[in-house]
Amino acid sequence: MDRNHKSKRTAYLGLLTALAILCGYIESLIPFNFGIPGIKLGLCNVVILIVLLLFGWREAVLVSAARVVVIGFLFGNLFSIAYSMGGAMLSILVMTLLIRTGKFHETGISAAGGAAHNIGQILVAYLVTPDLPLLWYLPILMIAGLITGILIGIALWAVLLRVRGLFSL
Amino acid sequence: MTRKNFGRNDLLLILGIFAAAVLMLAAYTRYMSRAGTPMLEITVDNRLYGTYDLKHDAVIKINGTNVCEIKDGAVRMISADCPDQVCVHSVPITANGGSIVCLPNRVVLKIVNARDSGSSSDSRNTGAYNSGSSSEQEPDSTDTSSGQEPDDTDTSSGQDRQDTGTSSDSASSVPKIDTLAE
Repeated sequence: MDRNHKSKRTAYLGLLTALAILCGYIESLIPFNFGIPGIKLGLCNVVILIVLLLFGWREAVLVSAARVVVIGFLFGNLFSIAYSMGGAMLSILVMTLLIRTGKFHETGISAAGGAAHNIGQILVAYLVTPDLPLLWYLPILMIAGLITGILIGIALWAVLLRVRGLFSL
Repeated sequence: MTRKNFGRNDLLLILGIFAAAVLMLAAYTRYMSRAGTPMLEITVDNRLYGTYDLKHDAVIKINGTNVCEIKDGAVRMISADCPDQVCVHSVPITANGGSIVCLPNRVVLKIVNARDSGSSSDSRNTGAYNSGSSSEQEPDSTDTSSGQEPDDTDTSSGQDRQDTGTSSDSASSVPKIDTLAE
């Protein structure tokens, strides 16, 4: 019985990882350009948040790392992997802490996660390129992360309403 | 999990992050407006020695080799321990730009963000912002040649060539920002 549970869990995580990678692919097809590099919708975050809410932070880190590496090799380069990895990990850390407090809903968690993702991303970029006008990029990317995070939070809420029952563990 | 998607705490959280971002933007624009005013930049051996406001009169001793003076918005070298004294005899430089070079001691007095070169000040401002850590010299060949005495032109062009070397270094790091688009 326990073994069945474990394989079910693994299968679901594999499924969700594939879904996250697919989200990244769909996103790469949508031209979503505001003239400022680093801004995108972050559809993957729907999947990452589902994993985070229904499984746990360890699973979310695994799924997120896998999709960052795969998407990076498919559509980006080594730099974009480094940026995304920094963003993804900081985002998961922040969202996990917010979930632990139990005081926030999906939209708030997702918005903070979106902002955290962009902060982590720009910090890694700053390590690579210290000439970056950090004080200029940081607030703009934070606000962009908030907006996309709120949109993703609404999408997540709609998805969770329909999907929650599926993952009976 | 409730069917509720948004609460007071979420609103506060979002507003808090938004406020932090706006604060940062305000600090940035404030910094930029300050950096946009003409300043005297002193470099020794291509390392930033100090940046000074032209509005405040001052006498600045540079490593015991040179002494320069800011008076009524003009900068001139008062004394130097080198034999040729070219820098001491240089025309004083003002907010309109220009530079005074003491080649034997590798001391360069330069006006950054000069009034007549406002269009090209963008990249320089970002460099100035980080100059504390990277101690990078901002090159500007036009400034050096325009404010220079005729005697100095051949030696100062050598200085320029070195500067352009550092500028292409910093320029090569710019395209990396584009890879952020992921």
